[in-house]
Amino acid sequence: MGTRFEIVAGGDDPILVQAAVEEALEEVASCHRAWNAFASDSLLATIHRNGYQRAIPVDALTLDLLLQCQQLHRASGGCFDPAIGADLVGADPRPDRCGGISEPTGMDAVEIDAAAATVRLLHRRIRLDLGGVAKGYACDLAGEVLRASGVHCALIHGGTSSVVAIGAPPGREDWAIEVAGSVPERVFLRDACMSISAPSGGRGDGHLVDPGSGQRVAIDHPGVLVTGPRATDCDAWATSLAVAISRKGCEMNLPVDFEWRTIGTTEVDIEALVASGN
Amino acid sequence: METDRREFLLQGAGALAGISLLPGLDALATVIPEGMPVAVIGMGRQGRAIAAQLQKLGATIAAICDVDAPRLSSGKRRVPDASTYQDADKLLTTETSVVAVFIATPTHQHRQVVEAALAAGKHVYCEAPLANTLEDARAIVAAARASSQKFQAGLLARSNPVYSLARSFYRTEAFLKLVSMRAQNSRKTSWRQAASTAERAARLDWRLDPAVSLGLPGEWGTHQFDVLHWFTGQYPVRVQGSGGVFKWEDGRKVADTVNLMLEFPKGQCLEYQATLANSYGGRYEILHGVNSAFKLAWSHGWMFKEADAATQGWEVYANRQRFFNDEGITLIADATKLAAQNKLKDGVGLPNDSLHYGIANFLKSCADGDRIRCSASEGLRATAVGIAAQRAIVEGGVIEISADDLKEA
Repeated sequence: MGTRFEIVAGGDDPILVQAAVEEALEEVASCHRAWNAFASDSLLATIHRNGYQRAIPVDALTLDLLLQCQQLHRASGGCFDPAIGADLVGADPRPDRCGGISEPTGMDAVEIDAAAATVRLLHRRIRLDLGGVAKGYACDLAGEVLRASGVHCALIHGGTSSVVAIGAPPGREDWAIEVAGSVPERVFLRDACMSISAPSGGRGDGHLVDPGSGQRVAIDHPGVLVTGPRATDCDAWATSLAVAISRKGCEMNLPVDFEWRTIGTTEVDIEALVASGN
Repeated sequence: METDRREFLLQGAGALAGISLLPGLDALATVIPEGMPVAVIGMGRQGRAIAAQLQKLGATIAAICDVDAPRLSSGKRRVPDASTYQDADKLLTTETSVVAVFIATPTHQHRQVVEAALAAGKHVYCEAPLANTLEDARAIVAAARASSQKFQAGLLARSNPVYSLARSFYRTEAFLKLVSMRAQNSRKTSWRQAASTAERAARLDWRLDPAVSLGLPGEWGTHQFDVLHWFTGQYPVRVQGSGGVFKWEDGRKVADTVNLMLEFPKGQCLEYQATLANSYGGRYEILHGVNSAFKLAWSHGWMFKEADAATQGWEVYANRQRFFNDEGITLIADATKLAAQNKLKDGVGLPNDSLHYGIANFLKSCADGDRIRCSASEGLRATAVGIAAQRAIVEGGVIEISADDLKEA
């Protein structure tokens, strides 16, 4: 996932907490190994290499993530679509950009057989980029490990843009997350998750791609902050909503237990974030 | 040794053949026959990793087992269609359709499960080290010998295509003659398992229990020592070392850092270091030869040539990587084929985790009768060296490894 994950956790027995945090981070590392498209031995690389020729068997977590991606793709009216790799930006394979070839593209070109636990690419040039959802999914997994290990006070973040809050720091009602920007604001989380996505994050000309056009979303569009019960969904919805805003609207089906608002910045302030956990 | 042009051409041809003889790596992913249900016993980190690789290979995991309920639950999340058991014997008697069993229980519990699985007529893949005592390891070998089923020890270098490629060079002028060996495994981790209570932690943290643990030399070293056993065809005759708890001062008795010197029969030595206190360098093995050195890091491998070594013909195709003052030739299986397709630089490592190949080879052996890559006997010998190395840390001094130590019962 090419980013830094951190966990702040507390508990009565520091030895048990340490072991739980290590196991949680190992889950994150395992996700990275499977879904890092830039590593030759990742599952994603195997799907990209051979997924057009044959259905590729995948492990249960990858299947679960891809099924969730499919669901989120539909619910977001196509604003969320991980089946468009960075190399496709500006060289988009869709019919109107590829000499009128009428082949399925985007997430519709990813055939997921849940019963057989396989994935197949229906278009030779489709690439999966899970950057808009994998951090959240990894944070959720890490949270599951911590809870199962009896940790009731922890904050997990991936790349400062996906956050899972478990319980609250000692003596506090909730975790206070400072969202940096021209007008800093605070988000308060307790047993909840949040994610931020903004066109101005990452590289200079922006990192968000509108899957409908294959073009980068202009960096002067606002970012989006989403809070809800799962970081996976927060992550995907933050991306979807940022894209939807740039399109000036899109028919979407955001679940009722998620809330969102626009923000003027891209990332939470990690210093403040860690400090608030102490 | 001088090398004339004729010898050079022969060496080049031999080396080229060494590359092109290797099977297609991605093709290995397609060999798993349908209708061959398997089970995984032990759903800790390694068991879950095995399950994930089995799923990537398209195998059917019919059942999983762990005595620890939370681990079983975690396993069920990853293998939702599998039946779950907390008792291995019950799994073996109930799941009659299961053909092969993967055993990833704590090392000191392997013997009982292996014997039961073989007696139940299952093929067995058992994690290494095979056991924490020579007696148990020998009993496992005896059970494997008495069974008509396949048994594979989980020493993964022997299934790893990069290591196979390097080994083919080891036997040529490209390497020439062994001088020395060095290996390390460095990870910053407490080596503790996540657990909600101290009681459960005590049960899961068997690696930190001096009564049953083989420590870093046994649990990590065994896998790396076997690389050198496999390359050289020899086993060390003595080992000495030292270690201590330098980082994790949490009451543990099992060393978090060890340094070992293993002496081989012809006088060459393997210098080994393992630590839980620092991650620099990770895990690798280095073999120093007269003409080159190999650095092997599981998913990747490199050959570092001496300036006076003859040029090999295949070097025309070679991908190179800079390491400070040295330049390594990347050891890539299928390099010739990749070069012909102009894809040599697409990826310089294996397309799958090492575990993937070990499991794929084992399942192919079960299905097609192919040769097992690491037999019980080889597993025993590697385990015996691991046990001796741990004794060197615990007892201090020099521990002799006799031929009898490496023998089956």
